[in-house]
Amino acid sequence: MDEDKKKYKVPSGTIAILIIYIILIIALWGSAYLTLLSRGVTG
Amino acid sequence: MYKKTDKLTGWYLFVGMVSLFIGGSLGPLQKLEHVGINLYRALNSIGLASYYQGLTIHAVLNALVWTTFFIVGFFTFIIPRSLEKELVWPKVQWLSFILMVIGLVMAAIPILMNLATVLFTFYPPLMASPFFYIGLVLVVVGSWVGGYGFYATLVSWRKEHKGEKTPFIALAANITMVMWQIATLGVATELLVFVIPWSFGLIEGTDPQLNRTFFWFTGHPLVYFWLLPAYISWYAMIPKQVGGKMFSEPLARLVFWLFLAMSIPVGLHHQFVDPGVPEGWKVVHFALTFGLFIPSMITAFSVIASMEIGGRANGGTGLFSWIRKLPWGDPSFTAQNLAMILFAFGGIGGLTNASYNLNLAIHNTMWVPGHFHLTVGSAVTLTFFGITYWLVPKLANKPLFSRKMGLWQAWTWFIGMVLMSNGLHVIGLNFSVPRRTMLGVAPYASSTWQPQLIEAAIGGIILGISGLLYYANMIGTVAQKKQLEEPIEMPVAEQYHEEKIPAWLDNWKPWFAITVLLILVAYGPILFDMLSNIQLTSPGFKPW
Repeated sequence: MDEDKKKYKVPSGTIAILIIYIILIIALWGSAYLTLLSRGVTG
Repeated sequence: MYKKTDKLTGWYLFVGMVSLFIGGSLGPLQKLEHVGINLYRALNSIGLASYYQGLTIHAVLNALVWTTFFIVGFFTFIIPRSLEKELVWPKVQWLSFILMVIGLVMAAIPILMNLATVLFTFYPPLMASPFFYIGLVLVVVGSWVGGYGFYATLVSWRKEHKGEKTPFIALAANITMVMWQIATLGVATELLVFVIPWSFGLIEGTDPQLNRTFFWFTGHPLVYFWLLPAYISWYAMIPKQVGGKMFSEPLARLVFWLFLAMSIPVGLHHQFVDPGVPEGWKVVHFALTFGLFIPSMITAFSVIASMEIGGRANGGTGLFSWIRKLPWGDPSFTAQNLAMILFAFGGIGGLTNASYNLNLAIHNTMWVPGHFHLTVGSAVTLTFFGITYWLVPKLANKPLFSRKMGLWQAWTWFIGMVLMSNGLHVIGLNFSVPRRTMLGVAPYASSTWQPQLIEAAIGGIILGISGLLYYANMIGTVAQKKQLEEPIEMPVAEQYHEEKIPAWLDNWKPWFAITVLLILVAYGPILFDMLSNIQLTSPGFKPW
């Protein structure tokens, strides 16, 4: 197991990139949602 | 070995590339028209009747013809190499190509004669010449025939290698073809049962709602038919190209099986504003569409992790410094990596499109082509360009004409696409500017749209220049006299971990059953309802 840890490293950079990506998704998705809300209610 | 199939691959790529050249050439014209520079008038003399005819040529050739020819050709190249076995039915593979070419010619003639200006979705009641539809059917059937040859080769390999797991690339390519064949049953039904008889006058009217539903049965998985070959390169080839390894082969296999099962029962998310589709079924498809987020995020993780392994193997350290150690001087890698970055934003736009309520804000606006160009125009096309930077030299046995030109091409495509897609997304979301519209003459056009339309036009011109660089490089590669000093081999990544592949990830039966079940659940009742209440009443229209 310890040997595996030495041989196979956790892809920390990948995890960091994906965390940034998730934040970006929330921000851009959220901004589209806010645009929709800013148009007000119809009907 | 593989000489005959390599020749066939070359022909597929040739037809695909010529189609993309013609279709792509009309792209910048659309963006220029939106800012008041109408070059279509100048093209009247060579037979281009309208903006909408140009848009049809652009979309049909780029989205349907370039992609399908490239994919079948790419699979013709990679499946035999992955299995280390020649294709067992070479004549069938040639028949596939011939059928696709006949179909292309048959569809192209009415388009060029302005008898099929119905855009690439050919939504009834827009009506085209029946030969346009028959041509499209032949292109699809030709690709099916190619698939039969691939399956026969896989079955033969499995008989010869009992107990062995199918090599990843061959498995993934065959899963893609099976998904495509199931998915295209929708458009085949639409065309063969309803649209072709209607366009021949054998049926008086048509049911637009039902036809749109059959179209989107195929239309969304069509996106995955384009994307999965790019994923094959990202999963199994890019790691080798960057000096890394495939992070996890079982995970990669799981992703392809999930796409087989989940790509199809999601089409109604393209019909959120269609009044004839019950809301409950829209919600079902909305939920299933978000299921696709899972294999997509697994892909993002696996592909980046595989590159990180390579970047670190090349001496990269820290959280992000390994990125600089990736082979940015290799146009094949650079094009594909930039395609991935653009696709990351395409994915976010896709989540917005698929959100039931948010879709109302962007439906049928410029946002949609903005999104579409990040997916099929970037993730797919720029990746395919990247693949051809090693594949065409391999097929021609000649080195790439200019690596520098290849790099310029990749970066200009990236910059052009950022500008164009950003402009289109913003005016779609903020001003609801309609898509597929000749905005330059629209009486309701607003001056507030101009900044983004100009941004999109500049992006379109840069993309046009990028396209010219690509073709100059491809022609230069094939036309030069210089021969390869060392043979090029298809890049195939090794596994990072010595992982045992579970039997269920090499077994078609359960995944096929899940796929059929999900389709029956998601489409069975709604199609039964629509067919029970069919209204073949709408006449055809030819507005352009």
